[in-house]
Amino acid sequence: MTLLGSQILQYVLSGIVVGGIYALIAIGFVVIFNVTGIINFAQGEFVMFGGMLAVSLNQAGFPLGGALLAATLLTALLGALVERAAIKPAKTASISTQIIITIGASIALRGIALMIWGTDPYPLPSFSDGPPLVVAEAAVVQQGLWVIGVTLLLLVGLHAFFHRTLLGKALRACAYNSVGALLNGISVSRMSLLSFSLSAGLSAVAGIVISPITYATYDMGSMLGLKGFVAAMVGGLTSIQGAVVGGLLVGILESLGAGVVSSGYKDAVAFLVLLALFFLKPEGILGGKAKA
Amino acid sequence: MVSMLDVSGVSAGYGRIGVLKEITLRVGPGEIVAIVGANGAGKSTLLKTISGLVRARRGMIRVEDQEITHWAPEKIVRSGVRHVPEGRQLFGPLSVLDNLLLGAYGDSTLANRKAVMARVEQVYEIFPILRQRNAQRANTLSGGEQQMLAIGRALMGTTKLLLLDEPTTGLAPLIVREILNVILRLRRQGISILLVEQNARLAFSVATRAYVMETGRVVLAGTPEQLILEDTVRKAYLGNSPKLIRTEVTQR
Repeated sequence: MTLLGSQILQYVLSGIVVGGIYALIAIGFVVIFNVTGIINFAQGEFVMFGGMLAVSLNQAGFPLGGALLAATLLTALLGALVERAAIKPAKTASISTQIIITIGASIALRGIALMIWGTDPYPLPSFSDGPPLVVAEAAVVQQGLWVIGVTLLLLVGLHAFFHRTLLGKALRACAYNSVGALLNGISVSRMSLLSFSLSAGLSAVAGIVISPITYATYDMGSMLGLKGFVAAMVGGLTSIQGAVVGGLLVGILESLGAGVVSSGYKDAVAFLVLLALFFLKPEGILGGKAKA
Repeated sequence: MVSMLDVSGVSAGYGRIGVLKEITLRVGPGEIVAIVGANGAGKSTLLKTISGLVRARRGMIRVEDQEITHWAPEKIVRSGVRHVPEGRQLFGPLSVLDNLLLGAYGDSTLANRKAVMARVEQVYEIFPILRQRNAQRANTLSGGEQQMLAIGRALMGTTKLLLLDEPTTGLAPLIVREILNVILRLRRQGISILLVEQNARLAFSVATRAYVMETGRVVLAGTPEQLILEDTVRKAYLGNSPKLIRTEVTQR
């Protein structure tokens, strides 16, 4: 393979790894949006809390596996808390008001993280040690394989949850028709709580699996949250499949942009994608039709 | 005798706009009570107020011996009051079976899957066409089938009182007849029914009693036989013909 060819392959593979993270965060946006109509701009802070809590628990002596699980559950709980404390009291307010509330929640959560952990970056150990996987002269580090594996596993799990369990179907029912849901005894308020909790848990996993690669910091959530938002928008904001496609697309383009053009423009790529989307296909790639 | 439903002096509306003005009506056990009236008379709002989608500002709503005026919709559902709303509000992308299963959501009397499937079986017995459509997405059904699914979904709980909002509007005559037959059949099974209809002739053909609503008020009440003798009812709703046709239950 030519040098350029193997470089491109390397960028694409790195893009898939980081795209998997964006996809998980984007799914978080989609789950909350479908059930409540809210775009939750505190999504990135759930990512950050996942990573930070995992680091702290691990450093406090928990074995890595236990720390990861506990960090995910605690962040899911934090999602529930945000819904009850910030969103539920404003449920009669307009959707735009509720979206602004999530921006406020995100600033508050970042502030709390700054007070707890300070500005230092924290390392989380890789889930496994070993040589990187080499595919045609391009390499993926072991943690990258974990990211891809965990993302795939969660996608399969989510699909089973939304299509095989009554609770998952009830969540979709709320997204399709909230009046119909209410009239069938499905508490839309409880489903809103569940969607925040589920979505926070998913984002926590994203933060945890990326932390061994990028380190965890109190402000890691802002950029990751925005990238996840772009990915969700690219996918049309209502479809999980769309979020996955959007996440991978943003991840790969960003990685190619950084490698081929300049690494200084890495973060700009996602927003160029968003701008292009708004001009060319405002409803998103899989926009409007498919849901949950 | 205890009423199935007692609405007394209920006023309700949306935002600052008042729609219902001091509505009082009653549904006895095993009755089919019709509410007729023109578009905008407040019929749908009345059903929404009973099922908790719209809050009553004044007055009281009782189901049997419980006051439900300020209950949340999902709690009202659990008390056995099921509202089949205008526009059916099905879960379009979900299958017919899933729509039915969600109809039993939160019904604690249906603890295990077997009990739920037995209920599904009962619904399929009432609407055999739904059995054939079992795995089909709800939004691919015909209008009549969608209405049957909406009623079937409302029968998945432990239903005591069924609130039907124009269940026959826009349907072919044969389907209308089938739905009316189901209404009569449900009554024989002990379910009380509050039926909202614009088509008074149709409503009177199955109702034991009826109320006439105009601009948010109940203006007349009585049996269909009494109401058709009223000039205003004849002129406004029956095309001035005093003939009353009773729908008879056809045997399957």
